[in-house]
Amino acid sequence: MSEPHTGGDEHPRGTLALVGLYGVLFALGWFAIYLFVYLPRGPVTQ
Amino acid sequence: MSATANRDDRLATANLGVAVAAFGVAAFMAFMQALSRANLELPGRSAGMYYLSVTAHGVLMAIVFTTFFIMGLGVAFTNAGLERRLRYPRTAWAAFWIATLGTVMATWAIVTGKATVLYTFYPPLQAHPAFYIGLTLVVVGSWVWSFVILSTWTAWRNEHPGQATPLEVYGMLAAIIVWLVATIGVAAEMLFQLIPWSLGITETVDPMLARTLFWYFGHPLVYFWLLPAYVVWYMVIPRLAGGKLFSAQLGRVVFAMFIVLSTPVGFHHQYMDPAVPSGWKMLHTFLTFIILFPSFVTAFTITASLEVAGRARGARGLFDWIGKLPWGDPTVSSVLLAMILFAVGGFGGAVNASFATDSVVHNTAWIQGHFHLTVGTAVALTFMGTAYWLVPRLTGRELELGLLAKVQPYLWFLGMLLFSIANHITGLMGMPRRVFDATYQGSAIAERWQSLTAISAAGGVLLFISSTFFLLVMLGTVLAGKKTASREIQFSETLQPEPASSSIFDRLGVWAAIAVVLVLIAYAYPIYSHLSMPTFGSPGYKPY
Repeated sequence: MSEPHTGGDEHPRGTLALVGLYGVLFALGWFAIYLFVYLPRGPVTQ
Repeated sequence: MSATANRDDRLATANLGVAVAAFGVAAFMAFMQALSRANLELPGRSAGMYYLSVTAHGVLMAIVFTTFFIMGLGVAFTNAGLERRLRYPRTAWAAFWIATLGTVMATWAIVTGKATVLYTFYPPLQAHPAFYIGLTLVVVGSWVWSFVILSTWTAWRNEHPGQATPLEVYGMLAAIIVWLVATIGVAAEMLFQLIPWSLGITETVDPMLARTLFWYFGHPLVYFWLLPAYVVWYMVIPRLAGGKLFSAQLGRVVFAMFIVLSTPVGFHHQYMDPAVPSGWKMLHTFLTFIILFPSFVTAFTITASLEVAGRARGARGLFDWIGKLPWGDPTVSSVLLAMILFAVGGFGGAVNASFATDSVVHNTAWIQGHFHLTVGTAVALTFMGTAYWLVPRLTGRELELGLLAKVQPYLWFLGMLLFSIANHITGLMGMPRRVFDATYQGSAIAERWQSLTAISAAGGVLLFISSTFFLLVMLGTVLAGKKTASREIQFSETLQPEPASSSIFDRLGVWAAIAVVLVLIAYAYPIYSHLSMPTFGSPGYKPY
């Protein structure tokens, strides 16, 4: 029986896509809190 | 030679046993809190009982369950990874008994209502001396355990000169170094502040210094929990998923970075504390964001390892490898679901770690929503999944109640999703954390939280059912599991062969020294500066 294909000779393109997607969502989520929650309320020292 | 000849399985099992028992009590406390938060009039419901149960849940889950589980895991992985018994097994048993005695003392103080000081035990809330001494003994026990693991590794290195430390042991050693550096802070708080104060030797305590010492310890504590979970992600899951670890070398980089960066980040928990100068808060902010990096690398490496596994099972498309993974294996599904929720927790952590956005969520329900995704899922669900894999190998008994084990991670995932997302949203709406009466006696603002609080409570009920399933599976396995001869503890192979010889990564003393230097840079002057100022001590308060 031949050795199963492990994908070891390929770039993990699915992983790269997921990680890229997560990076975008991560940044968008942070900016959403900053722009739509923090800025309208203003800093606590005002 | 049998698979268990070079192992200290009874010791590992004993540690896991205390961990599971603490988990059971803590889960029951959480169930009570969930129902109380939903404003259900339970028998015996009161503010005092609520805060007692919050304290018990936090201490037993975050300190006792995690520490004992990690000690058990450390024994098992050191045995299996180094293929030798512990160097000082009797000393390791002493560590177990010291920590167990400490747990009994602290638990007694909590359940008798003498230590309602919450998990952070911030003064001037004051507890019975048994609480502080008990927790100190838990830490002392863990130090003795650390000594045994480190000396076992040293003995192995002498027997195998020039060989690279196996990654599963390397990760545990990284966790130990993080722990040893971090616990200096809580030891100082206990020995110089809280124990003398609770015994009446000193009349007042400096709450600001105590908070600084607590968070010196409190944030790296997160990495003490997380690194053993990462060891499972790196060295157990790829194999169970049918693949290989994408890169062991990346794992070594990750663990070394955690050794260096885990401790000098505590001020990001104190952004709202006036006594910490802004410049030092900013330094800790930068270091906190740097320490996101090794977790991102881990997410990449483990996901790539899973992709390798999915492709080995015949997947060809961009994402179809996800469906090829063994989602029915409770250990694998626990980790996969833990990783998904940890990704959400990572985003929340970045909000907490930013000075501006932290001011929006500080001390709100967002915080409990956040850490239930990190320690409450990424760590706890990984540990539960690990127990399904490890306990049969330690006890020589097959996993019982397999259907409950298969369902349990999904229930946890769903329960935590409801609980945590609801708490993130109510936190943004301004709902404080750790509040007995979330209705604020009928306040109109609080009225807007109520539907989400009910969703959070529903999540709590699912989490309790999931916890019960886990406990039943553990009890069933230990008490009624069929005997099995299959007890080998095997770790993942790597996609590319690892270099056999040791490298700079194995020089753990160098990484520990860099960590200490960074800690001195980040903490020495702020603490010196604080001690140089006039400070105003506080007497103790026991509101409940």
